[in-house]
Amino acid sequence: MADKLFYTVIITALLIAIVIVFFVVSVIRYNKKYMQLQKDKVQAQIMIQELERKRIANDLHDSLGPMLSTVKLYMHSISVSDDTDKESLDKASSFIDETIKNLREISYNLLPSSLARNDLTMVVREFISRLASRHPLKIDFETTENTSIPKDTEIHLFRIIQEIIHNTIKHSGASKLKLIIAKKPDGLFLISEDNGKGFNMDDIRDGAGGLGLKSMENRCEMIDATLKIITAKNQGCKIIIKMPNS
Amino acid sequence: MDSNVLNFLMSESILIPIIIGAIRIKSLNKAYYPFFVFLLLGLLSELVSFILIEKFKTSNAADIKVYSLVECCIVLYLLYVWQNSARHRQLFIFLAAICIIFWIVECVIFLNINTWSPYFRVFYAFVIVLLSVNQINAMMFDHDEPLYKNPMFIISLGFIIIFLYQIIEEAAYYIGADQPTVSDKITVSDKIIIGYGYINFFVNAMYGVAIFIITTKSKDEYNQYFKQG
Repeated sequence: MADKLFYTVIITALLIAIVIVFFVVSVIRYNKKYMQLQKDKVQAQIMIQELERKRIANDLHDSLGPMLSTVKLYMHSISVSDDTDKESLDKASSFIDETIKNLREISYNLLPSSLARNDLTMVVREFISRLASRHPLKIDFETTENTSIPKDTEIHLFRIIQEIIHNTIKHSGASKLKLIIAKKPDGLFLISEDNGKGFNMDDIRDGAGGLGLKSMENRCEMIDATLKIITAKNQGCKIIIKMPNS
Repeated sequence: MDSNVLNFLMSESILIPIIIGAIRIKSLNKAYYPFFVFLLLGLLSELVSFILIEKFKTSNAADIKVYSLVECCIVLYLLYVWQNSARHRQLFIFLAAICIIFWIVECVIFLNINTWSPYFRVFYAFVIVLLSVNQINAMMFDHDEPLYKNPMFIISLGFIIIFLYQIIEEAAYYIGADQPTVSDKITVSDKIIIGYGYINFFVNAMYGVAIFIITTKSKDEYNQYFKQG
C-alpha cells in the first residue's frame, strides 16, 4: 500500500512537473518567435523607409535640380534694360541658387549618394565637413585602422551617426562631440561622447519624444548591435554601440 | 442538503454554458461548434451515469470510459480547429490515433470496459493539458486583444484546470480503492474526489462566460466580408 501511494504521488507530481516545464519552454519558444517577427517587421519598415528616401532623393536630385538650373539659364537669357528689372532678375537668380543648394542638401540628407561609391568613414567625414560650415559644434571623428564595415550595415550606421549629430546639435547644447569607430577583438564599436547638458533617460522614454532614440534602437536591432546610453543631467551623453565582428 | 444531491446539482452546472450556447446558437462562430457538442455530450454522460446509478443500481464505468474516449477526440479536434494550421494536422491525427489505441488496449485487451482504471483518463488529460498550454501561449503572442476577452483563452484555461485536476483525482481514486473504509472518516483521497465536483462547477461557469463572449458571426472579422445578399 505504501509503495502504491509513493509511486502514484511520484507519477502525479512528475506529470504536473512536465506540464510546468512544458509551459515554460513553450513561453520561451513563442516569445522567441514573437521577437523574430517584431524584428522582421521593423526591418521591413526600415527598408521601405530607405527605399522611399532613395526615391525622393533621386527625384529631387535628378528632376527638380536640373529643372531649376534650366529656369536659371532661361532667366539669364532674358535681356532687360531697366535697372529695377535687372535687380529683380538677379534676386530671383540668387534665390534659385539658394533653392538648388538646399535641394542638394535635402537630397544628401535623405541619401548620401557617395555611400554607394565610398566607405562609411569617408561619407561621415564629408557629412561632418558639410555641417561644419553651418553649425558651431566641433566634431572630432576618429577611426581605427583597417575598420572594415559590411556594406549592408553602413547605411544603418550612417543613419545612427546622423541621428546622434542632429540630436547633439538640437538638444544637447554641447560645443564638442567626439565620434569613434573602432574595430576591437570583441566587436566593432561606435562611440560618441558630447559635453552637453545630458538628459534623464526615463523622461525621454516616458515623454512623447524619444523617436530618434527608438529609431536608433531599431537600427541597432537590425544589425544585431547593442546600444548603451550613459547620461545624466549636466553630465553630457555617451553612446556606445557594439556590433558583432561577423 | 444531501451530498449526493449536491454533487448531482454541481455536475449539472454544465447546463449553464449549454443554455447560454442554445440561446446564442445561431450567432455562434463555427470554430466553437465542437465545443458545444463537447458540452452536450458531457450532459448526456452525466444523465446516463445518473440513470445507471440511481435506476439500475449499477456501475457507470462503461459510460465514463466511452465518454472519456469521445471527449478526448472532440477536444483534440477542437484544439486542432483552433490551431488553424494544416501544419499540425499530422500531429493531431497521430495524437488521436495514440489515444484510441491506448483506450482499446486498456478497455478491450487488458481490462474490461466495466472495470475502473485510471490510465487512459490520466493519459488523455495529460495530452489535453499540454495542448491547452500550447494554445494559451500561442494566443499570448499572436493575439493583440486582451486575453481575458478571448473565449479560446477562457476555454483552454478551463481545460487546463479540469484535466489537471482529473489527473490528481484519478490518482486519488487509485490510492483510495485500496484504503480500508472507516465509517465517518474522510480520507485525503475522498476530499480530492469531492473537490472535483467544485472544480467542475467552477470550470462550467468559466465555459458559460466563454460562450457568452464568443464573437457573433456578423462581428467576425472574416465573416463580415462574406455576407449573403
